[in-house]
Amino acid sequence: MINVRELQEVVSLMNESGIQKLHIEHEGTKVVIDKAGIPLEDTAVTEVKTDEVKAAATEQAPQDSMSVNAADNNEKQILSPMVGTFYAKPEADADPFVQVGQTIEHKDVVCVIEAMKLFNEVDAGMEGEVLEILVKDGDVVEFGQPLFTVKSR
Amino acid sequence: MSMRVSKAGLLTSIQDLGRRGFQQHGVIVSGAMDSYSLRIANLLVGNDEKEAGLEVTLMGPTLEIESDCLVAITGGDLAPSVNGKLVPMWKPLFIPKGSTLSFGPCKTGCRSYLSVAGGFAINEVLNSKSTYLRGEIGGYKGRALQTDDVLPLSVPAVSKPAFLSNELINGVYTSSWSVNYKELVHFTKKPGVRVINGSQYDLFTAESKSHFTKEPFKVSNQSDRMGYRMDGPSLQLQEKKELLSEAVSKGSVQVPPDGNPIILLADRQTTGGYPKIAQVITADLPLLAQVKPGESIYFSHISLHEAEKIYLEKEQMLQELKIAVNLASTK
Repeated sequence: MINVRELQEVVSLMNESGIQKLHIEHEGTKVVIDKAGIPLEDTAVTEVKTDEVKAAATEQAPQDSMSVNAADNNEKQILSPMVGTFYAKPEADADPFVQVGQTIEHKDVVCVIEAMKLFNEVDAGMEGEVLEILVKDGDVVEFGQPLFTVKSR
Repeated sequence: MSMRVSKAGLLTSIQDLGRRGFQQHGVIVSGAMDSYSLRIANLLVGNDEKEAGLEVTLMGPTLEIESDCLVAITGGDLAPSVNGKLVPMWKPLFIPKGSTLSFGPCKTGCRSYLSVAGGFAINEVLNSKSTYLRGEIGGYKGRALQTDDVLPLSVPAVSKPAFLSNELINGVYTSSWSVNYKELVHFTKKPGVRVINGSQYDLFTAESKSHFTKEPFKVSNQSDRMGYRMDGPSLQLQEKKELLSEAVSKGSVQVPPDGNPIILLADRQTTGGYPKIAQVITADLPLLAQVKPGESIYFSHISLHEAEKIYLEKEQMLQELKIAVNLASTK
């Protein structure tokens, strides 16, 4: 006997995969599910939902950079992992950690965020090209605030 | 275990925060010239703030690291390197056994501080590990380090703390955070050094008082841990006066008959008979310790009340830093 929970799983699998008709036979029980006659959901809506789920599920470990998909699938943002003051350069008169147009790797330090007199290095957490630096030296940033837009590889 | 000195450097000595409680017996205080940098170095390796470290002056030593150790390097940027590669300052560094720690050209400041977790196993003399060079007491055999000296470490073996990186970067394992030292230690050209009026300020001429805070004073080559002799406008008393010797402190600005002020520092004598025009505020002594002979400073007046306020602000910053470092090192 296929129980209710198994049936629910089958139905949701069907929805995710876009299968229109499913015929299962299992231990003497036969189930036929046919979606004909039910209006299809708008494809765009489904895709947006998937993106939302992905974004909400992004786990942040302390000090790890966070990312979220921006409107364009290729563009990602590096988010602030903490509250503090953003600094683009290691020293006042030094070169910035990254510049617009620069290619960055996963472990590259893109900026430091200062809190309680400690500079905390923020890793890129992704690979790609820096498209935009969204904050400036000395700005106070919030947890999760977008810092960089990166064209991800 | 130990660190072995393979090259001594210009003037490297063991200093803590000073030999206190015995000035009444004529015992010199000594201690780190830049106390903030030493304290921060100690915080970074989990030591008591007062623990002794190495004070490195202008040209640093080469040290053979004979056992794994956790160190921190603060103060002026004397280009510290491990196995020839520059390592970062103002953060904890775990250096593996067999490494060579050396220093290069002086980029900023004058004095750098090296702390090691657990401190050096040096006997105290009158409650302090500081070296008083002139009296040949304290520290490592009462003197600056020389080639082949072996510095024993109090903690024989240290394992790599979990919060440090898993990969060697330029020969060391380090943290992803570092200290923002800028409000505590400065490395600016021609810095302003704040003072309050000295005990004999009123004995000086109006012109001298005016010059004192308007003109730059250059640190002469006759400057050392005992004091900085300053070159600048001559400071004169209104009338010749003989004074009884009285106590002096770190930062007392006394004026001998030649009119060139001397800022008394870590290895100063306990009393002095020259008139004191000013007293450098405690919070600006570290800044002064990072000014080299040949460089100039400006004096500026503030009130005792303001000086105390600034002192307390700096102490609060150090406490905040201590908490932050503790939090950041418990991952």
